[in-house]
Amino acid sequence: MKKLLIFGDSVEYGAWDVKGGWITRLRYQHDLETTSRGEKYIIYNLGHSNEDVLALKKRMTPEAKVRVSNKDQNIIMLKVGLNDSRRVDGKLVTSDAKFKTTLKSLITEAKKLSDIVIIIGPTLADESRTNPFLHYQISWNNQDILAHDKIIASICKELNVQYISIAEDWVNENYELYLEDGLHPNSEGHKHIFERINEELKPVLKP
Amino acid sequence: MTDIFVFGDSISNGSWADPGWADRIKNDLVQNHISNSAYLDTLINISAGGKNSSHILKFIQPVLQAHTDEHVDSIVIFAVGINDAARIDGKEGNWVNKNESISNMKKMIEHAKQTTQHVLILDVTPVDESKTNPCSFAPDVSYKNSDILEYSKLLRTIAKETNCIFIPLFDEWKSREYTNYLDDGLHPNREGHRRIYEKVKAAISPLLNSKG
Repeated sequence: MKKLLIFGDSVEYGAWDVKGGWITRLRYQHDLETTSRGEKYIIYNLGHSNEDVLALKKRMTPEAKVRVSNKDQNIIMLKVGLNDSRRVDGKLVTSDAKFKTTLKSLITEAKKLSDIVIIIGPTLADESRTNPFLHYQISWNNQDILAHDKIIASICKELNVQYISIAEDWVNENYELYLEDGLHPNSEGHKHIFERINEELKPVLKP
Repeated sequence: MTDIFVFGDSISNGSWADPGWADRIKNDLVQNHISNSAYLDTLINISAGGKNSSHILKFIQPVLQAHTDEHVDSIVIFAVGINDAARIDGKEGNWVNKNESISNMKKMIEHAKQTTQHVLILDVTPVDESKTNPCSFAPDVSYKNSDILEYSKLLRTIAKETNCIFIPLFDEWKSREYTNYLDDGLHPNREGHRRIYEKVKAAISPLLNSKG
């Protein structure tokens, strides 16, 4: 059996897709395909609102240990970078140095817990709606998000893990239309992420 | 804002159901947020296939500690017990015997109550023994309704003793054509999940509403 554990933030949780978010879309599609083949595997959605790499580091190992097993092929996907690109009162919540060391140690830990590790990068923001975001003292801008996208790509290269950049796709599109509140994808945005990740996962999930 | 934590097995994980009861609740919370700009209540599903109360007891504390936020209210739902009642490899007795199951549940409730007073215990559901004794998908595992009923009673008693909300299912399903609610004899199908969802939703709604 294959087990796919996907960690992330409120986007992975499913905000704001009435169909449950890209992970739920992925799961339903594969549930349909695999049950018809009589084959079993499980996708766990471990998205948690507000999560940055430091918060993820606190829970990744206990949450993964509950679910992985030696009998299975375990795949860990980590979506990172969106909440680390957040500024509170103008200051980045996670410094670049802290982001790099934490991400490296997350990947190292994930490699011990699983057979395959895949990293997913942040989505872009519609700055007209995220600077500031709603009524909060927090903001996102695409310069920060793209800078994180680059850092993640270079760490993944260094540690030899697959990286899926969403920002790279979105930057050439009318991505503002994919966003519900400027930050979280709407149903169209989730569909887009689902299609990209589904494509990337095909070689990993093939029977 | 409220975080709803679900600790359970493959049924609450909604394996091979589209969507499972917990996902239905989660989708309602998202819909409520979009339509009414309501506070973002979230459902965090910490369920995994094949878990019994001994497994869940091991991870409840680290997981709750890693997740809980002092600014957010919590509700904990335990959806445990059917795997305790299983019989494995022809060994005598249940996978987790009743005394151990009671002790595990009480410890789990104690951990949960350090975070919240709102602890709910979901009843177990009956099986279609023609498909689960033994299981067609796992021939070394069997589930029997006479066993599951014992664990249902045990859960009800613990809920009463520890002042948790009990969400009954077993008796009501048993009094109906419940095999129509099952997919492979053990896991609920769409209709089964819908029925569980209705019950859980009714139980948690007052807890969410009371927090505005």
